[in-house]
Amino acid sequence: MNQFLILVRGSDHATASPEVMQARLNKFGEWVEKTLAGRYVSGAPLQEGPAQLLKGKTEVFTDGPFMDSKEMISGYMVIKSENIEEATRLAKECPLLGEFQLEVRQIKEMM
Amino acid sequence: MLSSGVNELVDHLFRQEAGRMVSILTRLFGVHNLELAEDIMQDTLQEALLQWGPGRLPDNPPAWLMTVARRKAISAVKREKFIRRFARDKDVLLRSDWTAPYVMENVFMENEIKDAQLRMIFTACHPALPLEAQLAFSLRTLCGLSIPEIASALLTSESNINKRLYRAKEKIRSLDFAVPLGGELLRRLDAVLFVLYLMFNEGYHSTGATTAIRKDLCLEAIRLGMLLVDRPDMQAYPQVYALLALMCFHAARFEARIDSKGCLIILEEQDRSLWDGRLIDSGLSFLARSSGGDALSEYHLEAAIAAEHAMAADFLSTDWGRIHYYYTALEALKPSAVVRLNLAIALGKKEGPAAAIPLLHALESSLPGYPLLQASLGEFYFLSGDRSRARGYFSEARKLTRSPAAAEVLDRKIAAC
Repeated sequence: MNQFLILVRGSDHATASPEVMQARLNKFGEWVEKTLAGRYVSGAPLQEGPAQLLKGKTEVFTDGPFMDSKEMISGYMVIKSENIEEATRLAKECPLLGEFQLEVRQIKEMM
Repeated sequence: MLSSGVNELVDHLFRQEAGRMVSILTRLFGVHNLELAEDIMQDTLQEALLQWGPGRLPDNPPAWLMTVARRKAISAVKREKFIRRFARDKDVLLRSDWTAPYVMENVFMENEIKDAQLRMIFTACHPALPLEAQLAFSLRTLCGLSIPEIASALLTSESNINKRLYRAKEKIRSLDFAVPLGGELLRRLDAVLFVLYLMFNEGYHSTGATTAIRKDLCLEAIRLGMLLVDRPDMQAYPQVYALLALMCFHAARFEARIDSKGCLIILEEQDRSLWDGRLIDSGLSFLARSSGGDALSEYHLEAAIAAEHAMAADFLSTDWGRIHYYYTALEALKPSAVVRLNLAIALGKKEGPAAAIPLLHALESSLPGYPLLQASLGEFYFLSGDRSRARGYFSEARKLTRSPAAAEVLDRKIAAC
């Protein structure tokens, strides 16, 4: 099976209440258990706050986010799937969709 | 420090919750990490001992314990995830920060805990373990008994119990922490029922353990039995109901069997108004449900015998005819000298001493030094009017018995001869 990276884009951390976040985590957990059913490999949400964008050895932007919040990466996950179609179908059921956008990419196997 | 009444309550609570905590933590970490589960359970109880005090018991102690256990489990996951693998179906989820909180939130639910306890008992009763290891491990892990307590309940040394537990854990590490399916379920269920039966008997008959521990063992065996019948796939297995019925009938007499000094009172002399009517009712309803299917197990017969005793208004109105019938069936199913002894007693009660005495003499070579046989001979010779022989057998039984309560009864019998 191939592995796919799903980048979670968007952020409502400034406005979402703890209850909303809790409910979201629960739905996410159910999706991982029921829909992905063993195809989840790893993943994590990303900490809000300053990001560092390195553009060269001397050129570092530290004041991110660098784009508007819709495009900001706020988490990632790696899942196993036969092909991009299946990975997309699984991602379409992810409860994060709506508030967030998901970018599905196949991880390139080098060996 | 806690007062002694509170202490007893806390001991009882700890025994009851220890098994639930270890089971659910093992569900999370995997059976290969059983020691980690046990460490967290011990830490949690330790913390309770430090924080609880007179008038400082939490409102809901079991919930308090589970909450602390969960908190400790979360730290353990954070600390150990780089060096350990957890339960196969939880490992990935516990490693990922998206899903770990979800798993920790949901695994401590009541139905998950019950499911984990069932997994634990079925794993403990795996055929890879010898029966004595199954029993010692179940008493330790599911009933929360300490090693000295197990040693005293099973009348053996602590080092012996340590060896059994060590071997059991070595085997268990590599087993599936699961309730088996299909044919394997039915095979394993026989072993599970037998261990629950032994657990109950240890609680009911052991002379080594304290009354509080023994009662907890009996109740835990019943509770675990109830978990079994909650599962739809057990409905097709009437033995489970028969065993539950048997345990309920006996447990109903638990209090009435013990006098104020903690000594046992024989059935004949028990105050039947002290029998627990609710447990007898539960026993009867389990017995009714045990008649589905055509399997007639020893549990059915023992439950039927216990039901006869439970339903008799007093000792004299016991239906010895039926009891004799059930013992006859039990002897056909699972012959043993002890069953034949009971059979002879029932026949003697039904048809008079002359019927029982030759049968009892026939058992002397297979039950040497068995005080109940000598006492029964004394009883039936007494009833037949042969007081000098009766006195001889009662004195014999008096020498053999290790129970102070039985000795007292026998002293009275001897004096009456």
